[in-house]
Amino acid sequence: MGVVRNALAGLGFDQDAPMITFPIDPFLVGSDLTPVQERVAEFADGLTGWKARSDKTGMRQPPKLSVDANGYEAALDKMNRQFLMNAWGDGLPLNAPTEERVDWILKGTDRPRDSLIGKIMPRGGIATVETLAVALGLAGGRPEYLPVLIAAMEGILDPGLEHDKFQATSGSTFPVIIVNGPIAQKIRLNSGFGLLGPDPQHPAGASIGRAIRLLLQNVGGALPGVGTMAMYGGMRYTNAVFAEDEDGLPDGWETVATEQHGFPRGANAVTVYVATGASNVMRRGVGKEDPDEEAVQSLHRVARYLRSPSPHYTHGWANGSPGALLMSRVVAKQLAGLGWSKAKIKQFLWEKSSTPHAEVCETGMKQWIEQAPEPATVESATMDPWPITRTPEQLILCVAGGHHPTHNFWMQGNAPKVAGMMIDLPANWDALISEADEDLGSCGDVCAI
Amino acid sequence: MQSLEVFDPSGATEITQLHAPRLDTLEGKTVALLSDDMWQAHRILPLIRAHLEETYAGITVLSETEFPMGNSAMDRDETADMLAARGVDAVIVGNAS
Repeated sequence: MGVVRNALAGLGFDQDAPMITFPIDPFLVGSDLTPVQERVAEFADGLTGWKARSDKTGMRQPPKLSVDANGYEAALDKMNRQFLMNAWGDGLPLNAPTEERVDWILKGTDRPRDSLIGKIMPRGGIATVETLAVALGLAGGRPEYLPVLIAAMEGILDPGLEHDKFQATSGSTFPVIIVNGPIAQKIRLNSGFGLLGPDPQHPAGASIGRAIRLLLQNVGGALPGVGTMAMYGGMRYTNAVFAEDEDGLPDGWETVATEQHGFPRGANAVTVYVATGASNVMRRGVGKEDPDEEAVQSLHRVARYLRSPSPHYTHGWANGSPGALLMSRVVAKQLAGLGWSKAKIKQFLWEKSSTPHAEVCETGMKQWIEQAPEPATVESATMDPWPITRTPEQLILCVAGGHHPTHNFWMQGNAPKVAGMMIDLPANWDALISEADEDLGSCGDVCAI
Repeated sequence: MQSLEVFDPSGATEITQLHAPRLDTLEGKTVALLSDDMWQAHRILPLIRAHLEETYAGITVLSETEFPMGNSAMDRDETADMLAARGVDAVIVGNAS
């Protein structure tokens, strides 16, 4: 019911519609349709007798909230409770989005606070620069994170990403934001050890990703079981916001931003796609192999992870991506030293992750491929073997992760497009970074906060 | 007493469209079915069609198979244009889960 109400709001209607709702059972394969049959007359009522609750168009701008309590700490506790009761929080403590805090965050952009970012579906809430600053304030963010958040949200709202669908789906999708350019180090964004998890030396990714989640939920209506049917919701506390380890790129390897969007090396940019899973791949051999043998075996092992019967591949097959493979600088340099270019690795993984037609049929993938929206994908249903994406280039290979040889990390996509956005810095950028250094300690190659 | 004034984090919304007026009756009207081709819509929509045809005199029910099906295809302007061209008075859309 929440899905439909959100969808209507996203289309510009009030959150209201004539609809007939049932428990999940009749919607399952081979179901008993008696419950539908018993209420079939109600469908006609929706076309004749139903009355809408709103008969006026116009903006609905929510007022600020006032929270009164005996002292600041009690007021903050009360605010957190009220936010949870309004279904706005994520269960973790929130900072108070006061005028003072939001004004501070807004120092991170030269854009006016009412500058439109876009409507976040399915609810269709309107996100402005100020809305983003409120979310970043709630999420423990700082002003120097705001440029990345703005670019990331503009990427997420790129129509090609079909965010209305990934928001509402039962698949546990989450946006992945890969940051390139010098801004990453300046704002303490992680590209190394533990880059997808909490790291007090690199706190930016958690705050930016948490702000994204709060926006998708509070503004976009992706409330579990109501506006998003994500059954498991993995990776959703902070999504995945990290930097490519550009200093670790082997000679001749381009950045993700250059490969995917043609942005020059050194430009500040985000790459945005939607993932639906995250898997650690132990790729290292036991250490007694010949180096070439270990390289090939490890790539075979990675390819087996990619070669899964995932219907989500069909969404990105024609124009999007099957996902991103994270590879540490140690592994990238090992492989490069053995003659493996980025293109050669992608070609190998693409070939070895292709699925024989018999297996495509056996797993029911053929029906999913034939139901895909893109004609090129539908036509691919008879390919033998069936590649997980139209071309090897669509696979994202990102040099990132701790400086260690043992693992890769695979974030499988549900990605009809890979969006790319340049990051705009405000005129006071250097001053902001100086303030951050003052607040958190100098951020060099190894942060010590 | 401490007072905290904070922003509502849900942002503004805008109602730009009102729901169409309801029909006085379905007799003699043309009703189209639209399908996302998911969640047993291929079984449930025919049930609704049969009920409407049995209950309302002179009703024309256009099957979902006469229009593009699927989440993306049903959502396109061309689909809306097809509905208009067929002169439909009302549409039933299914299924969400």
